[in-house]
Amino acid sequence: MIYLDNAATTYPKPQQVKSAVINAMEKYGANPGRGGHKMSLEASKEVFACRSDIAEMFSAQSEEEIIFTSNCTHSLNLVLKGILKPGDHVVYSSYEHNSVYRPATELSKIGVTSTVAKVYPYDNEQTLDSFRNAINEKTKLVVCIHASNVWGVVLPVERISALCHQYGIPVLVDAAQSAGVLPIDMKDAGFDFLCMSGHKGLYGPMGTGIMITDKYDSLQTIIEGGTGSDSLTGFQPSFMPDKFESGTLNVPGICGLKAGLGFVKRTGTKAIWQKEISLISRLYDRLANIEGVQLYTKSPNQWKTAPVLSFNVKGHDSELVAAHLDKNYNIAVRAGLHCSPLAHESIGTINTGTVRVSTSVFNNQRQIDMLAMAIQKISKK
Amino acid sequence: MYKNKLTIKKAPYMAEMLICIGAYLMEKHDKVEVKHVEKQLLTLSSITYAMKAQQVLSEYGISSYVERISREQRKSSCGYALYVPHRIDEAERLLIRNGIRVTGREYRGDIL
Repeated sequence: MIYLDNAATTYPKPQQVKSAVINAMEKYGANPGRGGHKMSLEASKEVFACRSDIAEMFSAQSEEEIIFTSNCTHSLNLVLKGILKPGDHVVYSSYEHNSVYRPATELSKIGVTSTVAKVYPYDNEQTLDSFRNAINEKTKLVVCIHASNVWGVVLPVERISALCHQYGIPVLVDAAQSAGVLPIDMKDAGFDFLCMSGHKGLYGPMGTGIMITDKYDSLQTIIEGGTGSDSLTGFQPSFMPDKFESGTLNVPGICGLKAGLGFVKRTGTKAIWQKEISLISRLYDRLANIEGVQLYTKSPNQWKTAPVLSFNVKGHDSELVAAHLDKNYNIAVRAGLHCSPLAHESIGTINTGTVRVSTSVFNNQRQIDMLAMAIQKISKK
Repeated sequence: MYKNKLTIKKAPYMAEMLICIGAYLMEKHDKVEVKHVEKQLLTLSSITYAMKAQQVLSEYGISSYVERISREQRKSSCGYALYVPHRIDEAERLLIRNGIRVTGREYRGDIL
C-alpha cells in the first residue's frame, strides 16, 4: 500500500517506536506516580524522560509544563474550556479544525461569543489585520492553527502572538499539523498554550497528545480525579502537571512518543520538511500538468507550506476519487472536509471537499509518481 | 618507684574503668548507628518534581533515590520523596535554587 494520509496519522511508525511500545508493556507495566516499587518508579522515569525531550524540542521552560493528553483535540479542549467563561469572547482563524470550532460552538451555549478571523493565504499582513479587527475588549483567548491540515498554508503565528500580547490576550496555537515538521520555539514565539498530536509529525502512537503551558494558574480543570498526589484532599492539585493529568497515563504510548521524538531529533525537523516538501512539490508539478485537476494553492516552491496538498479532479466527487485510488491502486489518501469545514468554506470547497495528499518522511518519489499517474488516468474517465 | 607501685596497684581498677568506658562508647555508637538507619528524605509535591530533582542533583554529582514515604508523613507532599544519603543540605539548597519546591524533610526508618 502507498500511504499518503499522514496528516491524519503517520504510517508506518519508525521501528524504534514500535519496539518502545512493546518494551514499555513488558518492562514498564506498572502505574507511574502511584506505587513505590521499582517498576512504578521506572515507569515514572520513562514518563519524565519523555517530558524532558518534549520540553527540549519545543523550548518549554521545564518538564512540568508538559501535559500528556490523549490527542490534540483533548489538549485544545483543555485550554478552550479551561479559560473561557460566560460573557467572554474568543477569536479563532478561518482555518481551524473542528477540534477548535466545535468546542467554541459548544461554549456559545453558555454565553461565550466568538469571531472568526479570516486567513488570507500568502498575505500575512492582511491575516494579521483580520486578527486585529476581530479582537474586542471581551476577548480572553485567540486561537490559531499553525499549519492548515487542508491547505498546508502556514499562518504567521509568531506575529499573531506578538499582536495579541500587545492587548494582554493569551494565544493558543494548534500545532497538530506542524509539530515535528516545522520549527517551533515556544520561548521565542511567546505562545501561551501549545497543543499538538503525538501521533502525526512526532511519529508516536495514536492516543498521544500534548499541551504545553506555563500559564496554568489561569486555567481551570475540565477533568478531575486521581493523580497519585495530595490524595487526602478532595480538591484537585494546583501544581503541574498533576492539575491536568487525572487518571492513569498512557505509558506505552508515551514511551513510543519518546522514541518518535528521538527519531525526529536524529533525522532533523528541517531535513524532514525538506524531504516531504520536495515530494509535495513534485506532486504539485505533476498535477498542474494534468488537465482536469484543480489545485487551490500556490506551489510549495513559491511559498513555505506544510507538506499537505489538496485538489479535485473535475467531474469527480472527491470521496469517489479516494475510493478509486484505494481500490484500484492501493493508494491511501483522505477525501472530504478533513474535519475542517471552516477551511473549506474559506476557499470555496465546502460543497465538494477535496482529495488530500499528505506525506511522511517514509514516502518516496516513486510513490508520488504512481499517484500522479493514477490521477491522470482518473481525469480521463 | 612509688608511682609505679601505685600504678600497678590500681591497674585492675583502671582496666575495669576502661571496659566501662568502652561499653559506654559502644552503646553510644550503637545509638548513633540506630539513628543512621533512619533515612533523611526531602519531600516534594509531585512525582514529576521528584524525578526532576533527581536529575538536577545528578548534574551536581549528588546521588539520590526516589522513595515513598509513609501516609502520615505526606502532609502536602505527593507521597514521593528523595533520599539523599550525602550532602542533603547542599542538595536542598540546589533544588530550591533550581526552582524545585521542597515541601519538607522527613525521616524514614526501614524495616530491617
